[in-house]
Order: sequence, then structure tokens, then C-alpha cells
Amino acid sequence: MNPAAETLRRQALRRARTRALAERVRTVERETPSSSFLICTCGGDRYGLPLSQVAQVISARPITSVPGAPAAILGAIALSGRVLSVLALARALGRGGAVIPEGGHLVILRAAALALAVDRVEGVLAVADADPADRASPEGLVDPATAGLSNETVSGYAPAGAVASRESKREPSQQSGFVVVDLPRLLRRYLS
Amino acid sequence: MSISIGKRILLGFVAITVVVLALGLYALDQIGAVRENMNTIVKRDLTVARQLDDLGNKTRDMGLLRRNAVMAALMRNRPTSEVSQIVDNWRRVAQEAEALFGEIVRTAGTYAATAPSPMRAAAWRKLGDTAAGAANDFRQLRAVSEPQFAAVASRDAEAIEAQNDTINRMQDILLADIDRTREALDEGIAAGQQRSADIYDRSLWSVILTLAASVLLSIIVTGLIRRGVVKPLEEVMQFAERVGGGDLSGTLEAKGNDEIARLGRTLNGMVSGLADLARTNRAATADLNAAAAEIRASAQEQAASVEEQFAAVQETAATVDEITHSGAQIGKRAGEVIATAQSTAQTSRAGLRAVADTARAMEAIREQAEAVAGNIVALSEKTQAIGDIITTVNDISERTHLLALNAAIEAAAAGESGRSFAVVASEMKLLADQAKAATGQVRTILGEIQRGINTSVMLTEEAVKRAAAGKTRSDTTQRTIEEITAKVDESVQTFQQIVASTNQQQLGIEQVMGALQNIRQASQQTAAGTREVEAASANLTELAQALMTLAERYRH
Repeated sequence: MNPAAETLRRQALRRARTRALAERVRTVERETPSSSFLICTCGGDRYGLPLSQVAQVISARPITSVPGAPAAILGAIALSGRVLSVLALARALGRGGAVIPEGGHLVILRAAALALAVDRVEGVLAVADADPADRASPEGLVDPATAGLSNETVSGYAPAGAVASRESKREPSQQSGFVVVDLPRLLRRYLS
Repeated sequence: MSISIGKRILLGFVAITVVVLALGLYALDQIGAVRENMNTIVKRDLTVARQLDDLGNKTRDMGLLRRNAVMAALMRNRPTSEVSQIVDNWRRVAQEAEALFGEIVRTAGTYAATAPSPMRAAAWRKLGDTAAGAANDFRQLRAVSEPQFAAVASRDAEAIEAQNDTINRMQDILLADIDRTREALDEGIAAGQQRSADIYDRSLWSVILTLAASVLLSIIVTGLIRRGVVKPLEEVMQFAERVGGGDLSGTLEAKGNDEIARLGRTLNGMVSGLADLARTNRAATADLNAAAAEIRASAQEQAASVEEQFAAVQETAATVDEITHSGAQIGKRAGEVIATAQSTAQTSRAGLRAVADTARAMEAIREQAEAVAGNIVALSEKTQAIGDIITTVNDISERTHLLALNAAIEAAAAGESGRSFAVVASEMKLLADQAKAATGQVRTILGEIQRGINTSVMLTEEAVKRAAAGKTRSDTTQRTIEEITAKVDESVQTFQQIVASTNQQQLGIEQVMGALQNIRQASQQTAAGTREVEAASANLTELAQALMTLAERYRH
């Protein structure tokens, strides 16, 4: 690696930093009604959890197993004086019994004393709210029935083009759709 | 007849011996009879003759006594006692004569009863009768003598004289009687002699007859032996003559169990053995004939072989001559080779020095490669430290990621007022992700570096090994070149020995040439010998054919 190439690379980095800083202002200005989702991956699938229902994201820690619990309940953890049940999201969605890898994340929910075990939390994406009048619009969430999905725990599907986040536009290679999980309906089964 | 010949002959001899023995015994018996007869006759006749003599004597004594008594009576001076004593003597003698007469008569009667022949019996009876008559007369004499003695006692001379004539007459009669008795005895003796002569004649005829019977028996026995022994022997002799003439086909009839039959069986066995022998002889002669022919053929082949041998010896001589020339060339070439080998030895010594230099260079290369390996190992430890740092950086970026996410969550919870903070959180997350990606790239590059280092370490170790191997090979080469040098030296010595050996070989080849000359002469002698063998085998063939002719003579 010669010094000239190093210089060129550093200049490119600085230009990208400058553009990114300028983009932040434009993003705030270009305000459109949208919903934010926390994007999680489980065994190759991407799921979106409504950001308003998420309290915290922590790294995985040792789980105390609970005897007699359903298969999807991995166990319990203690966090800030509370005891939280750990639910494997992929199992709860009926997507097979993939074991949570070592570097996984736990998503703490606001509504219940529950943590969802996922492979990895990727980030936050904002999706424009769907216009009920224009169902065929490529932007926004698609009804599951329209998209060919019939899982009752799924409230919608965000195709690849509906993501309004900046990084997705900037890195088109990572663009792929995700399934929006209807958390209350999913959790009803385990909290009743 | 199943009695053996020995027994037959023995039987004949036994018969003859028995006859002769019987004859001898008979003769002895007859001699004994004659002797006994003679003894009897002599004893009896002598007894009677002695008695008659006694009787005669006594009679005479009586006459003398009577006369003495008469004379004594007449002579008156004699005492009476003497006369009476004489009379007593007379009476006593008369008594004895009387007893003697009785005894003679009794003896004659006894002998007549036990006489061996009627003539003798008649003689004894006659003698007894005569003696009885004499006794009668004697008793009359005694009767007439008694009155005289009475007269004597009374010494009456006239009475005595009166009686004298009568008594004398009676005395004469008695003497005549006694003489007749003697004659009768003589007749008896004559009859005894006649009897002995008769016995002798009878014995003579018996012995003669028995001898004639013995001779006849001997003749018969001889004839029997001849018939039982000689005739079969003649048959056997005829058979033997036939066999001697070469006729082995016949057999001898052998019945029975005697010696002739056994001889016949033995001869049959012998003839069959001779026939076998003749057959074998003929076969052997035929074999001999064939063998002689083979010997002849072999001798001819041998002659041909000897000629070939002769030619081969000539060729061998030529070849040996060539060998002599090539031996000289070998010596010359060996000298050249010695020179070449000596130069090779010098060259190999130079090569030895070069190889030693190479080995030292290899050793230096190995040491340098080991130093490089040490440096690379140190470098590898450094990259390990870099890996630890990268891990730390990765951990930091992960925490930053979570922090940014939580910040975004908090910003969303804050609502409208947190919107700008959400952007900041988004930026933070972006940075964290970029840092993570960068550490991933660094980790990849570091892995490549690690692999490169490992490869370098392996290559360096390989280089060290190869340098060591090169050193080993250089050492091997050194030793090899040393061996080569030694062997070249040995080769030089060997070639010198070869030159010496070649010179000796030349000498040996000259001897071989001489030996070949001898072989040539020997081959010529062998050829001559072979011709002689051929002639001898021809003679052998003729002999074998003559033998065949001889063997044909035997019919079987």
C-alpha cells in the first residue's frame, strides 16, 4: 500500500463523512409520516418489531432454564431487579428450533416482563405509513393477505422498496424486506 | 514196487544171510548130535566093557581062590583059619560078581530102552540076554562050589577031588559065557559105529541140500535186483543219452517213490532247467548279436566323431591363436585403462574438495534459514498481539452498536423532541457498524498474514530440512567420491594384475597349444583304435551268430 493510495483513500473517507453530516439536516426536513421498526434477524429471516414497544436491547447473557415451560420459552434472566422470561422469537413464530448463537441479542419489551431472544438486532428502519386509498402503492407496508402471507401473528410485510431509511438507500446491496411482527397477538399465547 | 533199491538189496542179502546162518546152525547141530552120539556110545560101551573086565577078573580070582583053598586043604600043615579065610574071600568075591552080573543085566536093559538106534537096542538086548545066561551059569557054579568048600572045611581030599571036574567044567562054561557077552558088546560097538556113520551121512546130505538152496536163493535175489535196478537205470541212461544228444523235449516217466523215480524226477527238473537255460542262452545270444551290431554302429559313429573332433581341434588351435593376439591387445588396452584410471583418481580428488566446499555452503544456508525462521516466529507473535487488539476493537464496536440502538429506542420514546437524537443515534450506529466492518477486514487480512507466516515457517523449515538433506547428500557424495577414488585405485591395481594375468595367460595359451598338439595325436590314435574296435565288433557279430547256431542245436 503506497502513500499515494493512502492519501486518496483518506480523502474519500472525508468526503463521505461530509456528505453524511449534511444528510442529517435534510432527513429532518424531509419529514413524512412513518413508523419505525427495530430490525432483527433470526436464522436468515428478518423481522421488524415496532420500536414503540421496545424498551431496551442488551447483549445475550446466561439464561436460567425454567422447568415445565413451553418450548419457545428458553428460561428467565434477572435484569435491573426484574425477572424476565426469555422467548425465542423464531420458535414463537414457528420457524424451527434454531438455537440462539453465542453473540445473540435480547430485546426487552415494554408491555410485558418479557425478552425476545434474536440472533442479532440490526438496526432501526422507518417505513412510511400505508395509504389506505392506494393499496397498490409500492411504498409502505403491504397487507399480509395481499402479500400472500396468512400468519396471524404477522401484521404486515415491508417490501424492499418501502424502507425509507437513509442507509438502505445508500447500501442497496443490503436491501431486503422484513416481516412486521404483531407483538400483542404473538404474546397473547404466552401471557394468557 | 515201491520198496527202495537199497531196501531190496538189503532184503536179498538178509535172506541169503539167514539161509547161510540156518545152514551153519544146522551143521553145528548135526556135529553136536554126532559128538553126543559118539560120547554116549563110547561111555556106555566103555562102562559095560569095564564091568565085563571086572567080571572076568573076579571070575578068575574066584578060580584062583578056590584052587588056593583046595591046595591049602590038601596041604595038611596049613591051619584051618587060613582055609576058612580063603573061602570067605571067595564067597565075598562071588557075592560081588553076582552083584556085577545083576548090574550088567540092568544096565543093558536100561541102555536098550534108551538106545539111539534099533540096532543098538537089539545089541543091548542080546548083551543082556547073554549076561543073564552067564549069571545063570555063575549061580550054578556057586551051587556046585559050595560042597567042595564044605569038603575043604572037612579036609576031605576025595570029596574035593570029586567035585573038581564039575567045577572046572562049570568054570569053563562061565568063561565062555563071558566071552560071548564080550562079543555081544563088540557087536554093539559095531552098531554104534554104524549109527555114527548114518548120522554123518544124513548131515552131509542135509548140508549139501541147504547149500544148493542158498545158491538158488542167491541167484533168484540177484535176478530180482537186476530186474528192479538195472533195467530202470538203463532207461535213465537212454534218456541221459538223448539229453546229451541235445533233445531236451522229452521227460522221464517217474512213478513210485524209489531212488530211480527220484532220479527220474531230478533228471526231469534238470532237463527243464537245461531247457530254460538253453532258451535264456538263445535269447542272450540274440541280445549279444544285437549288442554287437550296436557296438559296431557305435564304433562307426565314434570314428565319425573322432574325425569331427580332429577338425574341432584344428579350429580350436586357430581360435587359440586368435586368443593370443587378443590377449596382447588386452594387455595394451589395460595399460591405457590404467593411465585413464589414474587421471580419474586425480579428478575425483578435485571433486572431493568441491563437494566439501558445497557441504560447508549448505551448512551456512541452513543456519541462515534457521535465523529467518526465528524472525518469522517473532512476527507471528506480533500478529497475535494485533489480533488481541482487534478483538478489543470489535467488542467496543459491538457495545457501541447496542448503545446506538438503545439511544434510538429512547429517542423514539421521547417522541418529536427526540427526533434529532434519533439521527445522532443512527449516526453512532453507522460508525459502530463501519468500525465493525473495518475490524472484520483487518481480521481477514490478519488471517491472511497468519497463513502467509505459517507458510513461510513451513517453507523455512523445508528450506532448513533441504539444506540439511543437501548437507547429508554432500557428505554422501563425499564418501561416494572417496569410495570411487579408492575403487579407481583398486581398479588400477586390478588392471595391473590383469596385465600380469594376461601375460600368464599367454604362457598358458602356449601350453594349451602344446596340449592341442597332443590332443591331435591322441585323436589320430583314437581313430586307429576305433577302427580296431570296429573290426573287433565285426568279429563279435560273427561269434554271436556262431553262438546262435550252437543254441539252435537244443530242441525244447
